[in-house]
Amino acid sequence: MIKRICSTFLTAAARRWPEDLRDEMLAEWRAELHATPGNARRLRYAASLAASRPHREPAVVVRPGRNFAHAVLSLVLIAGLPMLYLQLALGWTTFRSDDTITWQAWVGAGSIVAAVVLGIICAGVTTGVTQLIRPAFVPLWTFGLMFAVFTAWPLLEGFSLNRSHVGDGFRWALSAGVLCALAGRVRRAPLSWGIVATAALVSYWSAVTRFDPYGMEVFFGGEFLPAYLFVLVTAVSIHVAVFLLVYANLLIRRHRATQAQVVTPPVAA
Amino acid sequence: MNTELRMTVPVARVLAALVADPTGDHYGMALMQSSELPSGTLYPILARLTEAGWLEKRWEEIDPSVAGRPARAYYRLTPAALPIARQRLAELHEQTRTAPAHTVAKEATA
Repeated sequence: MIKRICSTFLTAAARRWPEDLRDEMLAEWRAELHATPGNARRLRYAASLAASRPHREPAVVVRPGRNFAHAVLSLVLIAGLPMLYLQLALGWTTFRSDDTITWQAWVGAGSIVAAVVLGIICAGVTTGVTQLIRPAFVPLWTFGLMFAVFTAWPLLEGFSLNRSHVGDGFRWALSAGVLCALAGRVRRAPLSWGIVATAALVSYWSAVTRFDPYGMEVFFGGEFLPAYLFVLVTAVSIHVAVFLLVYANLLIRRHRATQAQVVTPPVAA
Repeated sequence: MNTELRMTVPVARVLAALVADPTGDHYGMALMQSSELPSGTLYPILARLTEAGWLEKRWEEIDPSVAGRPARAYYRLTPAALPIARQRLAELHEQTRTAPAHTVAKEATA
C-alpha cells in the first residue's frame, strides 16, 4: 500500500518536471526511495516531491495569464468549497442520537483531515496567487472573501441579514485572519503550524464566545471533556477554518521559500 | 558555467553540504540529511545547479539485477564551481555575520 502511494506521488511529481528530465529524475527518486529505510521516511520523501513546486527555469517566472487564472481559481475554491461543505454538513450535524454519535465523531475527525488535505491540494494548484497578491495580504484575501460570501449567502437565498450571525462570522474571520498573518510571518515551520492549529480553535471560540458542550454530556455519561471534544471535532466552522488556514499558510510559506534570496554579485569563473 | 547563481538560503545549505566534502560523491538522501532540506526542495536545486554547470551528476555503475537495487545518482561540485561556491558561502556568511539581523531578514525577503 505504502509502496503504491509512494509510486503515485513520484509519478505525479515527475509529470511536473521538464520532459527531457522526467525519466531520469524518476529513476533517481525510485533508487533513493529503495535505499530509504522505514515507510514513514519513504512516504515523506515521496510526498515532499509531489507537493513541491514544479521545477522550472529561474528566468521563466513571469506568466501573468497563469497567475490570473490561479487567482480566479483561488477565488472559486475559497468561496465555493466552504459554502458547499456547509450545505453538505447540514446533513450530518443537525441531529444527535446514541446510535449516531460515534460515527459523527469519526466523520468530524475525518473532516479535519480532509480539510488539511484539501488545503494542501488547493494551495498546490493556485501558487500563482502570491504573484498577484502580496503574501502579507493572503490572510485578508482568504478570510475576507470567506466572510463576504458567508455574509452575502443568506441574502442570495432571500433571507434578511442576521446581525448576530454577521457578528459571529466577523469575529471568526478576524481572529483567524490575524493569527494566520502571524503564522505567515513566523519562519520556523513547527511554530508557524502551531499558530495555525491554535488559530482554528481561537476562531471557533471567537465566534461562539463560550465554552459550552451544548448538552452533549448526555451522550458521554455526563462528562464534560469528551462532550466538549465532540463539539469541537464536529464543528463545521473549525473544519472550514482548518482548510483556509492550511491553504493560506502554505501559499505564504511557499512564496517565501522560493523568493527569499540574497543576491550576490557575479564572480568571474 | 553560469556564475550568476541566485543564492537562496536552501541553495546555500546545499552548497555548504557539497563544499564540506568536495571530492566526495553525494547522493540525494545524504544531501537531504546534511542540508536539512526536504526532497521537494532539494531536487529542483540540484537540477538548477547541474544545469548551471556547478554540479556534475553521474550514475552509480552497478548491475541492478546483480545488486538487487536500482543504480543511484551521485552529485559532485565541478572543479570550476568549487572556489566560487566557497567564495559565495563566505560572502553570505560575512553578510549574515556583520549585518543586523533585521536587515538581513529584510534583504532575504526582498
